[in-house]
Amino acid sequence: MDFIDYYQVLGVSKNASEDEIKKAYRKMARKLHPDLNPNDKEAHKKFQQVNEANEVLSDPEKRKKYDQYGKDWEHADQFEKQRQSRSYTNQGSQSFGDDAGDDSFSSFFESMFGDSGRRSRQTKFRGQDYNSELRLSLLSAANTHQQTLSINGKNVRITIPAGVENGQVIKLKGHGAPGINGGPNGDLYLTFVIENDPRYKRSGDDLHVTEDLVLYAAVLGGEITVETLTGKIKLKVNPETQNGTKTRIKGKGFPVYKKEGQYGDLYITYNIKIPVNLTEEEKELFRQLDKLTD
Amino acid sequence: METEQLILVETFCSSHNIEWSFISSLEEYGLVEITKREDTAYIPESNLKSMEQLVRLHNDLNINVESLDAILYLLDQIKEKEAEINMLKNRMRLYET
Repeated sequence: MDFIDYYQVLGVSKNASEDEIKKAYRKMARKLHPDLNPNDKEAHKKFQQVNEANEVLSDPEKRKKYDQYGKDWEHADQFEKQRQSRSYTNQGSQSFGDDAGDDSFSSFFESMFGDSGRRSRQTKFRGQDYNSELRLSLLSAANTHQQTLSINGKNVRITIPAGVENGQVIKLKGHGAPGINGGPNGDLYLTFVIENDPRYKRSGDDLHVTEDLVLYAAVLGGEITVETLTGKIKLKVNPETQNGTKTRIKGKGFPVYKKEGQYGDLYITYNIKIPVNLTEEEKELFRQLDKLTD
Repeated sequence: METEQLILVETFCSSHNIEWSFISSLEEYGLVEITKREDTAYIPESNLKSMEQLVRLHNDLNINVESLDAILYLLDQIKEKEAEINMLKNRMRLYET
């Protein structure tokens, strides 16, 4: 548990007036409010600190205790015992964005003020939403499959449709925090993080691969075997194929999200391999070819 | 037939400590949808999340309805930009080795 300098959190001096504290709090709250920074975890964390600082410094009684015991917060418990069971009354002052982010107070705050230090919160109807990430390999994202996730200690089985995109968010209705006073539960927002694949590069529903091609096949033409997501296919190579040539194979790309049977295309870029460790005979043949082109 | 979950506006107002007039103003600005059934006003459950977001911004930051309208517009723009950035990032992965 680290000591938290609430004055520093709000950017005010130790002898700041109530008005100055209120002003500083409002300014920071406007900047860091979770509803205005929906995907910014750092802002949520800072907002919680600002909220906590205001909770203490805007209440003269708590501020006095904080000023007196702040750095030696371990003694706060003794202080509490001396005051016996005196509890803090609700002052009616507002606390911000209860269900828009992490609602927990720091352990420093809890040790000084306990649960009774919290002012009354507005009753919320709907539970808090949760955000989480789910990592998938590119190949697993290409197949509709089921995964069991542990959410709030419960195992939830979800179906992941083939074709989910990196960064795509799906909502699992009712899997957020429980609702209050019989209100509906919040939702869980799951963001897919699709890992890069060593072979395939994805662009929307299309896939791109680079295939090595031996010089002789590139010059004379031929047939090669190419691995695709759905198995191996044979592909005809045109004579005099240049390095970097791209060829498209229709319908052999990535599955289209929630459109069964539809696939993007596969683009193959040829990388022509120049033969190495040539024998003297091979070199001689190349020399003859060279002479022919003079 | 599909059933729709509705919440009494009065219930919503009392649970969030807000005035009816605030909800009316939000409706006037087209920020929320109120359903009327036999002279009783309800909030569709599907609108609850956005409604609560507006209430939080109003209560927490003293933001008036006109400003809420502007904020929602800007938040929508941010969402669109984020989607565009995500799409461009995915396209960039093509060129990563």
